[in-house]
Amino acid sequence: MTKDSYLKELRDNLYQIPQEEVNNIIQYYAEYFDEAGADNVQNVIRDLGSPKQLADKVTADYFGGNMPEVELKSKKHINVWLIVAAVLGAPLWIPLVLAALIVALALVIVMFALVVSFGAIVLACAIGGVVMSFASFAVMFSDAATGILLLGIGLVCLSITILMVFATIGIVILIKKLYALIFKKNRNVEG
Amino acid sequence: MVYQLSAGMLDACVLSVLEKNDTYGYVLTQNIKEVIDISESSLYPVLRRLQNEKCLLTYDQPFGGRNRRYYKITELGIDRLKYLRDGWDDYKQCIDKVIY
Repeated sequence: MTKDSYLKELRDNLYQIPQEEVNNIIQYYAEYFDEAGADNVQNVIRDLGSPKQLADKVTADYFGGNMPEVELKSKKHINVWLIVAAVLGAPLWIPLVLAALIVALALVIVMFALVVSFGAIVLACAIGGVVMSFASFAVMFSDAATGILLLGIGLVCLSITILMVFATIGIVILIKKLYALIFKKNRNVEG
Repeated sequence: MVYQLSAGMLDACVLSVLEKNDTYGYVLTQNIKEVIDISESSLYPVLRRLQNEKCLLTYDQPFGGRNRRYYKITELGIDRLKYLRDGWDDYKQCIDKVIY
């Protein structure tokens, strides 16, 4: 292994550490190789251990016991038994996953329907309220009682409109929060 | 060696070397290795931690076309070294009382 391929593999294995610190680490060991001299590359590698071993040691120290993820056997190799279990268990988990997806879809549809129907009510009450109020003026002079009734209904419609506007805004905010909650949760799981 | 080097002791070794002179990673490692058999991979974590704890600071000096990162002990580092030396004296005394 050459100095450069060692350092590259070391960098790859330091994936859990922030870039800035990784750069410091690589600089330190690159300098170490340079100081030891071109003749000593293999000696240095022997003393440092494999890039993976060195990376594990540096990473463990960096996190001081609070590792963000449990030490993986190896990220690149897939466990054969995992695949066998997945295939054998398919009749179980496939329908479950489908069911979960359908429930999620149903929730989305419900929320959408809520927003749409609230919006419809707002629209209907707004139009109704305005029309009623104007109509009431038309009748007011011929039939005061009816006129007042229509005006009253119109004003009630308008106030319902205002209430529903607030309700719709509330529902939209709620949906946004749920959305953020779900997707924030997912990000934590991926680490 | 019969006995293991504990974390604090390695801190003390590093700080003690730096107390005499600023130096860079390779020389530091070689100096300590002359006396105590440590693995090269042990030193970087110690240096990083001491730097985080402000016991030492680093500065770069170009040398023959490349860069050398020098480590320098701070006031806080000198205090820490004294604390570690006192701790070692106590520890030495206690163990001596028991095993002799």
